Amino acid sequence: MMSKRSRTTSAAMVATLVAAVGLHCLPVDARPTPASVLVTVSGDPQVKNGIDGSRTDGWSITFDKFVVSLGKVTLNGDPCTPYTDADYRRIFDARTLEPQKVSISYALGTCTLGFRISNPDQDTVLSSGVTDDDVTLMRTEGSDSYAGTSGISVYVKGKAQKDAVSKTFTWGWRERRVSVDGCTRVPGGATEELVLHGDDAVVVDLHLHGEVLFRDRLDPATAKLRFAPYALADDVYGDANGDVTLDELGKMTLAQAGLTSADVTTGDAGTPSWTTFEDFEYLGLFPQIVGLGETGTCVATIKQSH
Amino acid sequence: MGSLRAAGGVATGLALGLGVLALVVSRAASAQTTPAPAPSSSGSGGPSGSSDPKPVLEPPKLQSSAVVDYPAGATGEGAVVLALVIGVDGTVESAKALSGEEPFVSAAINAALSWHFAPATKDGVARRAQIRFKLTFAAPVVTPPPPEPDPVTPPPKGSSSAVKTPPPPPAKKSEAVELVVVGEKLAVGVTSFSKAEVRELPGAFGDPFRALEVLPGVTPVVSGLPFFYVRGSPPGNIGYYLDGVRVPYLFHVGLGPSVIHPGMIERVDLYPGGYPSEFGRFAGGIVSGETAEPRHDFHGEGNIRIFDMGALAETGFAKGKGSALVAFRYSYSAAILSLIAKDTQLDYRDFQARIAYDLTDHDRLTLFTFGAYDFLAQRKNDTVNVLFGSEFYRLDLRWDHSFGPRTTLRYAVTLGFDQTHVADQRNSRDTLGGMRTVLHHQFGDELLFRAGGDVTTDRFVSTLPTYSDPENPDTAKLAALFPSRVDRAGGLWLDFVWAPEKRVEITPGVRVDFFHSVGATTYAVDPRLAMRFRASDRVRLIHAYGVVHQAPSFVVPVPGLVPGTLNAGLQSAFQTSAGVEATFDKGVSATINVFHNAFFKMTDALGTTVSLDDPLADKRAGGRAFGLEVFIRKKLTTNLGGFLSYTLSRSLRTIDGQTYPATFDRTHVASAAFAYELGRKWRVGTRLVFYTGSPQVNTLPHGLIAPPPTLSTVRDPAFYRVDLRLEKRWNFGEKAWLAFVMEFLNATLHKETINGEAIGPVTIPSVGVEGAI
Repeated sequence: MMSKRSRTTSAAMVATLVAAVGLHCLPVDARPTPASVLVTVSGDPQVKNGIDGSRTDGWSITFDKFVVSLGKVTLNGDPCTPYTDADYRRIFDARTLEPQKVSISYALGTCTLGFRISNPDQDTVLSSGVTDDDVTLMRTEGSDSYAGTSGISVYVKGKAQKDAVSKTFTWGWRERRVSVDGCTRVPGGATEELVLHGDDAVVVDLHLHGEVLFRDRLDPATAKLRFAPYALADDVYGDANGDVTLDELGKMTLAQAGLTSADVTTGDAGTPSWTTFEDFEYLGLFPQIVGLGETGTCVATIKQSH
Repeated sequence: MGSLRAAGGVATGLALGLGVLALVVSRAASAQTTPAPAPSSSGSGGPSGSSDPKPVLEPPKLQSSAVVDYPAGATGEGAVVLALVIGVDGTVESAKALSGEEPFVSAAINAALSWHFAPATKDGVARRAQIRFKLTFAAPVVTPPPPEPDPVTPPPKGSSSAVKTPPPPPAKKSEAVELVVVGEKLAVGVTSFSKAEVRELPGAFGDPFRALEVLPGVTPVVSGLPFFYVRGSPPGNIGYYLDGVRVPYLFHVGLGPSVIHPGMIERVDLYPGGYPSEFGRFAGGIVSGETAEPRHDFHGEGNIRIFDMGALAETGFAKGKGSALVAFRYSYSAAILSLIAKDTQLDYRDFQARIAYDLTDHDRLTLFTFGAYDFLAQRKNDTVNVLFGSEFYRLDLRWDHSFGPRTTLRYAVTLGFDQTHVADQRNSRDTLGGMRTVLHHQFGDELLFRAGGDVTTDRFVSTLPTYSDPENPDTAKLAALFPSRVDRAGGLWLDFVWAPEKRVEITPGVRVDFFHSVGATTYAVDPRLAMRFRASDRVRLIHAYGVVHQAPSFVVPVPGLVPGTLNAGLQSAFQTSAGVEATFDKGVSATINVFHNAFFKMTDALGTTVSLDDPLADKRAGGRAFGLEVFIRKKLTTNLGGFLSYTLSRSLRTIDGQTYPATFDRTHVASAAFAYELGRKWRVGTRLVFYTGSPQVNTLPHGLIAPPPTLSTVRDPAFYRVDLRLEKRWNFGEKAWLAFVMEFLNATLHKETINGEAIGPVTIPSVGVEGAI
């Protein structure tokens, strides 16, 4: 027979054990059903078909390659409850017009959309029209005036022609990361918020805009397309070999490119401290290649670190 | 018995082991390691009426001259009760004071470590044993004249003479006495820490498993994190066992403590390679924890620290036939964190319970259950997002039977459940079952035969994330790497511990395993050989060789996350080592080993990655590791104890014909620790950890194609840290004590550089109170 103390002790032990075991168990997923947010991106007819000279300063522009590494979609905001991040990238060909999936995310509440334009990695998914050679090129180490050792986030190759004059351009935009934290459907409009309720299925279509690389000012509402300053960069400030490089743009001042302080200013952002045509192209126009819908824009912030 | 001598006084020794109140046999007879089956046998209070003869148990007998100098500076009489662990070779492996005052305690411990005993025996077979040993110091003025001088030990300054007293008399009264046969001679190449030692190790926080990082051959990944490379083998290839039960991981999330209450652990063994045939299906090292033998007297211990508390209690029942134990640890970090970071929830708990019951003198049933739980989540807008959660539970029922004095059998059934939540609420579960049998038979005095077998089945259920993009590459990789399936594995093994003569011990063995997963079935044959040659009473030469195989493993051990990629083949390794063991006076021992391991088809994503950003990559690598290990030790439980551990090694990987250093290859790894009794039960300890930097495998920005790795790489700077420990202890009677303990891992707040980036400082401060009754 057990002694009284042994019985008491044993009972206490069993109670402790039961309590300990009973407390243990990972919780099941009891979150309410969220909304799904499918983000797609559509190409640019002007990239696919080219830009006719009647829409520019007489130069017709065609694109042989226009690929963008985009992804890492997030849904942000205090009243926003994100369930998961779509933590990966895809490379898109801006000549593919049909909406292609970027990713699908889940959240509840009022959220703003964010994503990144950044260097691809070994897990980046290839979308229609993108080849392994494109990925290899974009993941190959290089540098330029703005980015140290890095890959390429946007790669553009094309040709411009006016009368008998022909120029080519091959530009790799190497900034490792551009964070886009909000988009608007109309230039200058308020950042669009997604009001997400359970079981909602929301689709957000982003658009790639290749023509922005040849705008004459940052304000999309008043900007016009032109190529003459680019040709000038090669002919006068470069090696006049017919290929326009970013380095050649860097040899032109803003004034030499016909740019005023008003042209390099948007909204309340103030006048940036850019001095060269390359600054305007690289830091001003490239981040505008992705917008919300056909006419919308997104606010892009260049970050040096990944 | 030997004699005691007092310089100017007398110290009287009572080998309390003569009055055995309880004797518990934990393992089968002789040599080597690990749980060997053996039933319990009660020396008193046990069952009666059995027609089988009871095992003949003999406590250790003091053989050497047990000389104890009356300590300088002491006055009056003193009494010290020591807990001595006597090895099967009769040496005193550890000595710890259970009661007594300084300076008598220090004098007694220092002397005891040089004594030699005839080992404890069961049915004539030597056993490792723990005994209590009482020493009584008489004041010099009442000391009788010594009969003869001691030619070996000079008297202390100021003493008038040096003499031997007659041998200590047998215990004449039934004082508190306990003899516990706690083990047997360790296997070749194994390094072992006892619970008592780990408690004194700064930075280990009393966790036996956390002490592993200081052992030779062990290379840390990051300071403070409990993931190690062992002789070049990655963390996922280290097998963790507790009483022979496979454990998925050893430590709570982050920098948490081990998942087993330290009070349960009698000792922890590290087998860095060439281990006994009993261990299989792991291609790296083995970490084997052994729980303390069931006790029949009521006792308990507990602790309260900044972030957690724990307790253990054990008592006997059914007139000594049975013993029941419960233990738990609970972290209230969630409550503390809620004051600092309200949106973060961090929680961990564990429990252990054991019931042992002696059905007869030759049969014991033991039911052992334990488990652990970890949870890390973020709360936002009343929605909890689990960032990481894991849990595992084990239920082990074993029957130990003795067929007689020379044959023992253990049969055990284990059930378990492992589960891990990873990001996006993805579940991976493993419901497992297994059986194992271990047979030991002693042929004469020269040969011990051991054999066994086991089968396991693991039913893995991996769910896709509840709300996640199925085209996310990480999701797809996880699904491919961890498919739902049923894995089966089993093995048969045997070995012989053969001592053809007194100075030679040879242990040949072999095991055969099968593996089945996702339609692939494969087999492995693993020969093993260990040898120990006794060059002299103090020096032994040791050799260990082994072939080991393992199914694909994950980067680090995580419950329920085991890759299902057996169709790409087994991992394997050929492990070799040779060295010298030596013992010196005053409990000092030293081991020097050289080793070489060759690896084949290794799944070491952590060690082979060239960018440190793809832990899910299913890469297979060849490679090798070789080096030199030095371990010099004086038990930390002594008045002044410490150790020096040093490993010089190189670990290489080969993929696609390119050979390069493993990601966490470190040329030099060293630890040094000491603990010192300041007096008045104040004890201070410190540990220095130093290691050189690992290769900077790829410092290019994320995503860039890395150049092929080469042997010559830039390495991160070296790292060192200092750990501190301070303890004040109060004893109450012979058993009860209370201690205030402060510990600080990385007290110097040094930052570590990993792949060119400084991290940390990783530091763990701890203040707490411990006690036992």
